[in-house]
Amino acid sequence: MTDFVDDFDELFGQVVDEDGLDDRENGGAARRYSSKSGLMIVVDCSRQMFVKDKDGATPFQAAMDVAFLTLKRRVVTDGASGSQVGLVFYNTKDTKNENGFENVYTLHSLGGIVVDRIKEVRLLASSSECAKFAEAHCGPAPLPDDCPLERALWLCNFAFSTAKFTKQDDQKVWLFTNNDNPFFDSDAAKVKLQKRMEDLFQAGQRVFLWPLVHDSSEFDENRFFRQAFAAQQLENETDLEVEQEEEPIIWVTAKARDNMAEFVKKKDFPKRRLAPMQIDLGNDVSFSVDLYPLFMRASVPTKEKIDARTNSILRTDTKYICKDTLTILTPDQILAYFPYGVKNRVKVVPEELVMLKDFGPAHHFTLLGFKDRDLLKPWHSVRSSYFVVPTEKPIRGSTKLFAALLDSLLCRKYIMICSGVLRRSEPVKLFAFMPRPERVNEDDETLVDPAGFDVVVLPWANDIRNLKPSALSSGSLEGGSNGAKKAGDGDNEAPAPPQAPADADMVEKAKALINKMRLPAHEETGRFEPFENPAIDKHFTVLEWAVLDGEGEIDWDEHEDDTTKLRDEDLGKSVRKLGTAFNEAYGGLEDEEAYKENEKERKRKMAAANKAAAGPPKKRARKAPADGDADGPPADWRDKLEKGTLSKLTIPVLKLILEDLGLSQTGKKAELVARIEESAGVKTEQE
Amino acid sequence: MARPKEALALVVDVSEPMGAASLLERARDLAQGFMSNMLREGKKNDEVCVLASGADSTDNPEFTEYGGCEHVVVVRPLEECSAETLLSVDQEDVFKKSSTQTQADLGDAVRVARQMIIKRTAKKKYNRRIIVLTSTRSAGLETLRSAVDEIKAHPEIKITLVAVDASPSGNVDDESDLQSFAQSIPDQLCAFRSAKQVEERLLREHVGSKGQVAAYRGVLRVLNDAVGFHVQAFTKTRRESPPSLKKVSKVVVDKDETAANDVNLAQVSRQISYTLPDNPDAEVAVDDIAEGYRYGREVVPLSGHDAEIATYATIKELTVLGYLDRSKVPLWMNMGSVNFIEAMPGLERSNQGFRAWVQALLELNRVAVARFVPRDKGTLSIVALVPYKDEAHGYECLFSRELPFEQDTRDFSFGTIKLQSLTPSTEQKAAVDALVTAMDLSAGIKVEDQASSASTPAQVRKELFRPEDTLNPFLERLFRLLLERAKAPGSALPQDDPVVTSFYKPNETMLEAAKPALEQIRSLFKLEHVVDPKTGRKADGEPAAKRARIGAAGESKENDGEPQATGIGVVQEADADASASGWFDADKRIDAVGNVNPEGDYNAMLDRRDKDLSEPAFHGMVKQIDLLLGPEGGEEFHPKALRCVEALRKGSLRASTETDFNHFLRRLKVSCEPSFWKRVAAANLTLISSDDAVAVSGVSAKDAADFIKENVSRNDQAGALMAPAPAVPAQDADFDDFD
Repeated sequence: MTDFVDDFDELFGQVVDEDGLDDRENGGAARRYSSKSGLMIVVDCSRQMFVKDKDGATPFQAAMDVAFLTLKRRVVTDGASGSQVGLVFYNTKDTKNENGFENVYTLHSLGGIVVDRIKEVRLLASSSECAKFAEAHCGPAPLPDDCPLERALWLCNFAFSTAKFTKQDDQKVWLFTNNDNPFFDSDAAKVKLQKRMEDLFQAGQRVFLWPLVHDSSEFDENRFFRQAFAAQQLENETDLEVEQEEEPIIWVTAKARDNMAEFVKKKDFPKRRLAPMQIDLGNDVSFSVDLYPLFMRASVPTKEKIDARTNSILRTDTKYICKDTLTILTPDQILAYFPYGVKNRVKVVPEELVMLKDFGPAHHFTLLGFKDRDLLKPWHSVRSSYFVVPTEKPIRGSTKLFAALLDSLLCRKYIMICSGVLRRSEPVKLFAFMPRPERVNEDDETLVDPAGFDVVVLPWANDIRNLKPSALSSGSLEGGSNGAKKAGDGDNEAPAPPQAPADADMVEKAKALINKMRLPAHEETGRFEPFENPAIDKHFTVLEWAVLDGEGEIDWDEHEDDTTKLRDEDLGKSVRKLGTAFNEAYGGLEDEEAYKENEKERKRKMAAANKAAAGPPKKRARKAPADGDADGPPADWRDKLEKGTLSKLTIPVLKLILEDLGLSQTGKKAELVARIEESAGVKTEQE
Repeated sequence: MARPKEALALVVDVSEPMGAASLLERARDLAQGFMSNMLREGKKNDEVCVLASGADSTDNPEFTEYGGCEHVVVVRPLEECSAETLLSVDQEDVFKKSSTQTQADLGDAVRVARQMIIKRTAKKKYNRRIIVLTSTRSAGLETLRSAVDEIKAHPEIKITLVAVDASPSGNVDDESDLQSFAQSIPDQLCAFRSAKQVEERLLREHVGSKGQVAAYRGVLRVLNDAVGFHVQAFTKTRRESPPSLKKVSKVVVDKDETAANDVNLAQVSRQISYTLPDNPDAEVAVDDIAEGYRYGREVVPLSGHDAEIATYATIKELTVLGYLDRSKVPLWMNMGSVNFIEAMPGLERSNQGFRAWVQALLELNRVAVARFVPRDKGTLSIVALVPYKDEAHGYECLFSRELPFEQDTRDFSFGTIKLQSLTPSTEQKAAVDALVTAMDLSAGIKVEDQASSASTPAQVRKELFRPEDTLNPFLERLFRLLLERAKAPGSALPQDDPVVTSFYKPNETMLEAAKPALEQIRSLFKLEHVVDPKTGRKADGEPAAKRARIGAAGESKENDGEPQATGIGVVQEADADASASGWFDADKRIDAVGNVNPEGDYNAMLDRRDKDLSEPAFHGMVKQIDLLLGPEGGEEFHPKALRCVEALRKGSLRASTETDFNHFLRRLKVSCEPSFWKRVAAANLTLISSDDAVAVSGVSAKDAADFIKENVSRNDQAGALMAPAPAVPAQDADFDDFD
């Protein structure tokens, strides 16, 4: 057997992608399916933006704070995938932009995020630099009928189209101001601005307004943009063709100033459709939906190998060598076979694999039926789910049908079962559509929960393990099965008698404890509110520290910043008391000794059971590893390390070396070798 | 604990009664089914032997060594299962037709098989099985009786009697002989099956057969260190991936074709080296390789110590953080595999506490949210511990599902569908409701429906498409192909049989019942396929990439007859590349050049195939350019105007309006602001020369180049045309890839 495992992708790159929407890579799917993401940050630079509030900070600084957070955030979420950000000021006294728009100053044109830009923005957020900036750029009030904001927005429009953004891409404009009257009651200016906003809207650019005020009374939304967009909005409501969710402007509520950081974290995700889908009900009746990923696993990025001298990322060059002739093989000299059994191989060519994976056209769900939602068990999910909302493209009338279906299923407490092919050359999957009703916040009539289906990816029977709970093995572990059912005729086994119900008093005490430890749920949706992943947080905090400062303290405190830990001091007295009561009821956790004793006993019983099945044990001296003495690693392993032939040693020998080095001995062979090499490398450095 | 090794003996009755009604073929298929299951798992040390019972000849070790056991032939000794073993059942003469023996001495065959298994697997950990494939008519039963004592003496060997001609349920009087024999043996040592039952079982045999390896064994801490139980966790649900392809050296295979089918030959090894990004030949020495992480567009080198600081240290734990109502942690909030958690067996207090705690969760309808690290230095995840009680067996357990982190969550905003115009009518609702009723999987299908199709057993199925019963059709196809190919290399792809189809296609009976409801829905909802103009154009055979470059939304052929089915992939491609106007105006016919996106409109008009709009498009575009450069415009409009001129030039080449364009450009040169003309010159928007288009006369490539190089003078148009200028290559690179 070859000593590596091939990935499908590696051989049949474009053809095969078993789980194209895999969560192995952060946002990989989104990148593959769609589209660019761009953000223009537009900041008012007029006098009132530099007026200090009671805390001594200016609205301008607040805007820069948000910009700084956003840049950092985009680095984390988008990585190198090419999120582009630009920073533009308007109402400046000087002019700097490629279109020559007056009183508009481009600090950063729309482009990739680099560290220098982040540093620059952070600097502007400090009061001294902010004052300098005001001195240099803060502009006079615009002339009558003039509207620099309009030109700034236009600049954004240009920037996006020059960078070849399309309607499908994520194009956002964040507008920071504390002036609710940008056209100074001039009708001419207002008309211009209205026109501009319409252009942006038509090009799919969405404007987010950040009113930089502490109190909503200081900023009159109606006076500002509401009237600028009144006509536009009216049109929307009657025009079904416009995607439902699109509004020409998104209001970041006036309160936002206090939780802008939160907003950046939560909302600054490019809205990316994964795929347009069609649900075939049968008999050629179909309707269309859009598929979105609501969850996509983010993980700590992988290490890159870089050139120590230039810090440039190195290319990985993989060569394949024929083991028989020891020649380097060119791609056309490599065939791909499936192993069959332990001795044979079977040839399947890529085209055939594509045919095997062909289960009908991509982007289609096929209705299989409906069932009671209680039939969905807690283990009926193999990966993160999707979300579908109706769309009128390409099938008109879909939204109504969608709504009717949703209603019907919600009434019956039913779910919909479909098979589906999400993308080309991907095998069929089984899905459960769980209806989600639309919910509206009664106070401000905002949408809390959109109507749609949560699409759970169901496991196939192959993905579900047949487990046999220990409670069902008669006489606990005797028989040595320990759950490894199935080997023979599984149904030959006699069922164990049902257990007596748990002790009522203990249950009551457990309930008391459980009732005291309620987790806060999400304010709006009322569902579980996810925690920050401390591993990712810490990773990027350290990276930021390395990039932006490089000295001083790293701004990460395990105790404070890790919210996934329950700190003892946070536990109230009453909780402790209830805990103790429950503890006393069942006797408490067995101590280490008892546990170890149990482990021994368990192993002994299993060994005995095996013996019983296999007869008396064969006496056999413990075989010493072939290339090492029984007590330690072979003497010449360092030579092998230098020659790079460590992998020729057997796993037990490698483990002996690791033991010798005081390192962990777990993992696959390659990992063991890597660990030894790593430790040796570190040592030579230290020496 | 991994699954133990297998030692399987397949005993095929070949006596005379097996000759009837292709019983022997059936038995052979079943035997191959067992082997193919073994092969598809590809486990080392799974061993199989094949015996023929009731043969005319005799060839077995028992006979050779001790005598007796006649008419038993060992076709393959106990060895690792391979394609060869599989083929032996087809190829060996003894299996080709039934023998002249009127009965098979099954007892002898079992004896031989048992001895082989014992000899080979003694004192080792194995699952030992003997499977006897016989018929109810074979009177070898008597002889089996003689082996009863031996069977009892070796309880580790399980025996299955399969009557290939028994009725599907295996419960009818005929076979009571075999059946009652099986039942007469205590301790479930011997089982009786019909062929149908075996087939069902074979289909699922490998399913869920992975041995249990504990995903976690340790303490479930309910209240930090104060309260907890010892538990163990096992994987319950995890995506089972297909076997991975292995690389094979063609160099070796070319010399010796048989090498391709042998795992030990023609192997390929991999060697990785690192090279400089700009010089792939320069291999970087190990000492010069450092490690770092990407940060935006840059790379941050992180040395050993810093890298360690950046790592989030974890130790093995499962610690409850709090509780939520069950409805607040829905199933769709799952990020990956699901684990099964139970109290550690043997520890009384842990068991008591665990069961009480799970019971309490069940009664309160809550789930626990916990921090989970499966091993020291492992990855942290937040899991929901969902309580579960198996009512039938009365045991409690937990299922742990991985929850998303904040960073994994995409908080998209969606619009409402509760608008007046989107609310379905009562009639429409009723039609949909009828569909749900007609396709209710949990109601089960009627017995009559089942009986009508002979291949399905006459039993009421409670639930269709239960994940536990629905096999991955892709894996089924793949494994069937592998079996066929192993038997006959180069054989064609097998067709889907109804069993595989039933895993991913709707049930025909049900679909038939749903037809009236579907027709209602069709007529009531007026579902209408709006054909994307881009897809519509696919019918004309224009490649998608080209369309995207032309980038326009123009033509909207009425194309309802050709739904998305064939072109859906293309739709997406085009979606991603379409111009700004493409999507928005998809359904509108563009008849005039507007001021929002003049280039898009212009191109769209040129793309119209229902009528020729090149002339109005040209004039519309000229008008827009004039407006942009006129008194109402200004310098800030220049970039947009320039793009329009550029589009107009390209479009003119397409739409044969070159002469008009040249005329326009000459006019523009004298009428526009000098600053704008500079832009035109910088963009190298020359006159269209006769080299560019045959229709143009009187403009050479040189003239064209000179024309724009010339200094602009509002009053000296003619001079500009005549003035000599250095030769500049007229070929515009932009056009190389155009049309």
